[in-house]
Amino acid sequence: MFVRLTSYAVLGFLIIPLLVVLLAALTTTSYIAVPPEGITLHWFVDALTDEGFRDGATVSFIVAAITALLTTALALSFVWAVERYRFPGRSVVTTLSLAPLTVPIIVLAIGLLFAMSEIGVAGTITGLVIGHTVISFPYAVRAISSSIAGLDQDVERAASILGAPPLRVLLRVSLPLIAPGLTAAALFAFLVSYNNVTISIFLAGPTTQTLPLVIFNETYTSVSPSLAAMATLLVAATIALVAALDRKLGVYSALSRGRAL
Amino acid sequence: MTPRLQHRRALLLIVPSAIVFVIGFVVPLAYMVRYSLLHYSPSSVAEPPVTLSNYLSFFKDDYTRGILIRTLRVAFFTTLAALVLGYPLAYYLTRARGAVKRVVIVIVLSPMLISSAVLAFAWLELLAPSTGLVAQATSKLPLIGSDSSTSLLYTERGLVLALTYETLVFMVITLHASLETIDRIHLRAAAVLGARPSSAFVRVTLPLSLPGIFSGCVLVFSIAASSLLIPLVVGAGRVPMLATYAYSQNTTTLNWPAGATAGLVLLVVTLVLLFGFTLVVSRMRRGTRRPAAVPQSAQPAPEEVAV
Repeated sequence: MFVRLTSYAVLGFLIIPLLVVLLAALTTTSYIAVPPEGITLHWFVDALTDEGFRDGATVSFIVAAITALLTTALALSFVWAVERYRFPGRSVVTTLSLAPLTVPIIVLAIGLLFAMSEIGVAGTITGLVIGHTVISFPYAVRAISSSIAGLDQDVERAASILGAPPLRVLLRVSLPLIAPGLTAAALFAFLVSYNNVTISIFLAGPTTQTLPLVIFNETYTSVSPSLAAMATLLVAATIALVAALDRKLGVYSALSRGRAL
Repeated sequence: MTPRLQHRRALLLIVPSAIVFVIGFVVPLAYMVRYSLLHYSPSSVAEPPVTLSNYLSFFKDDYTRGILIRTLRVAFFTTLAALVLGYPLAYYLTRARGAVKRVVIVIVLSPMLISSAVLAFAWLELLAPSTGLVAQATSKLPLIGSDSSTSLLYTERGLVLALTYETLVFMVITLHASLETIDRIHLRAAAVLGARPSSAFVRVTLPLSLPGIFSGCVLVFSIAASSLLIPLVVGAGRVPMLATYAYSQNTTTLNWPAGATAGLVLLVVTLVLLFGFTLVVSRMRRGTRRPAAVPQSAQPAPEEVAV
């Protein structure tokens, strides 16, 4: 009883800030009022047609899509090597692949600012993609590892005995069987990249402001109901994706040993 | 496949990841060390000779030392709050089933994946003086009531509150994972031997979840100590933390040596904690494997699996 009541209270604590953002977007006043005075949806229209938000959303989408593809491809080839081959230093590279999780993201972000400035990609999409790929790689490795480890190699052998060349075995048998792991890795990398601020704030330039950065800048300069509306949309999209991911692929179990400093 | 061929193929598959790892991880950390050892110069950002003076002045200067101490204090209280709030929820999660469990998990996971820009905005609204929900709620309470000037915005307490929200997820997930591995047979044994549920919890569940408590605390502490967005918005310039100090040094003042130094101090603090506690936890885990008091015949078989 005590446990249940406290849990509900804590769950309330987790939901309230998100509810506040939603309520702040509903007010008919031109300033934020919680609870809202009157109810309107026109701030959502405002947010969706706002040029700053749209540019931010576009930059975020491009960066997140490239990050998701790159991270998944890298993690797939990495995990394949570790799971299928025996070579010296195998356990060392496995440990190293998780190293970015032990370093606080802010520390990595500062270092990335120095390094990306040095090679001349600070402020570009390329710089953002490199930073986001590094932090989402460990999660992708984890998501793909379990599905490759669970892949029954007898199925591949059967295809091979029946005359399929190695490439076709890979494309028609192995990859479809580990597709759930690949999808989880890609969607997760997309989410991490799309919502990231700590890396982006150091690496983004004037023309590469991601959506979370635009939201952050407005939080700093001029809060408005349309900002709340944009934030609500981002939250709703994220929660929908998390819910879908958890139902299909068990994100929770993939995350439970993870950390995103 | 010959070992030679295996090695070559594995190498080929790992090289792309290794390149990104070096460019995006090794080189950045190397640059941090390099800048932290150089002199700050307004004209060229940093120049030789190599020196430890950045570290010396970081610890000598009252302002930066104060920031380090505040960071540790805020992270400590955040950890404490997250543990107190997170334990019951994690415990509840081990009992919940089906749809309820699913919904709870999504609620718990959300703050972890939602952009911290949004979370910072939410807390700015919650803590805003007089119009914020927290101010509205407390103004209705007796005692603190009429004093509407007591806003939590730009205070350490407000920061702890918002950081607790941000880090609670990590505490719950870690504790839940740890509680899940506790074999229910121990609890049944305790019940059979006459322990009331409350004393079974204190004498059995709580000790067995200690490794989880430790790892959850280390995780939350390091995340709270290195969080950037929440301190930037909720603390603004008035409650500087290591992360916000490093941020302003690197982006506004452009004193990269000072920024790199602050970042490395933060890294060392979190790594020392991480490895120190990992050592403690692995000792504990080894300890729980051999319950000395249990006679051989009564020892439950699946013990090894549970640990």
